[in-house]
Amino acid sequence: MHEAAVNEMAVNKMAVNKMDALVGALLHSCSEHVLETMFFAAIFDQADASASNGRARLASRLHFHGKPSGDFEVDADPCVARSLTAGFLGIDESEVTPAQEDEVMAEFCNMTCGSALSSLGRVEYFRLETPETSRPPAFSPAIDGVRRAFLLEGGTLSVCLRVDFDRS
Amino acid sequence: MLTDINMPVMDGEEFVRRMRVDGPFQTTPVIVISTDATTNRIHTMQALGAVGYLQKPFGPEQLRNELDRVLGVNHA
Repeated sequence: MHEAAVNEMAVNKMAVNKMDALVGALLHSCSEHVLETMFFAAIFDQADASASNGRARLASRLHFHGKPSGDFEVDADPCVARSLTAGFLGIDESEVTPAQEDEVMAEFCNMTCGSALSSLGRVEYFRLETPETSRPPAFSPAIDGVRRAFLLEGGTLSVCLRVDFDRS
Repeated sequence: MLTDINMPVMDGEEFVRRMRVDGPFQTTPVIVISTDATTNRIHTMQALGAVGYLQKPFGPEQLRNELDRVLGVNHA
């Protein structure tokens, strides 16, 4: 391969890595801010999203379109989803219904995605579609993007953002 | 009036646009609450007549401050 092409590939790879690092840092700070402000929950540590393999999960996903478009995904341990729902609604965990968990995780998905996109800098406009919530029997990521996983009280929660800058 | 933007059936932009057309809510102060804090979106809502904008997530203190500002309440 020509040396110029090799150099260009190296530069592109560095740019992608830099962008991924920026998105990763944003996902962490936005998730932390949303969790603390609206759900009264704290991140104890970073976690490995795939470590939750084999256990039931609660996932919420949305597509956003605009300039740029992309996808956002939240995956949580059911215990985390229940705890966050109780915190958001201001009720006892024993009163939380599955429908409320679905709605609150969708709200977390919406809020965290919007917060991250608004902070990203290269976003001109976007419109979030309604999140879809599911309960897969195991961790099953549907988006190939930048993912960050966190340890919260009761288990893990991960968020993933894919931004299609090139297709905007 | 407090309104979100991302809502089913009718979004906040259309809601405020219809409020401003005619009727009893034509001059009602509107504060927008949204995750979307892009400059384009804020300018659009301001152009429609929104007088306040709160980005989610926010705490009770921020909401109170914005309500006080819009309503001209001074606690001093």
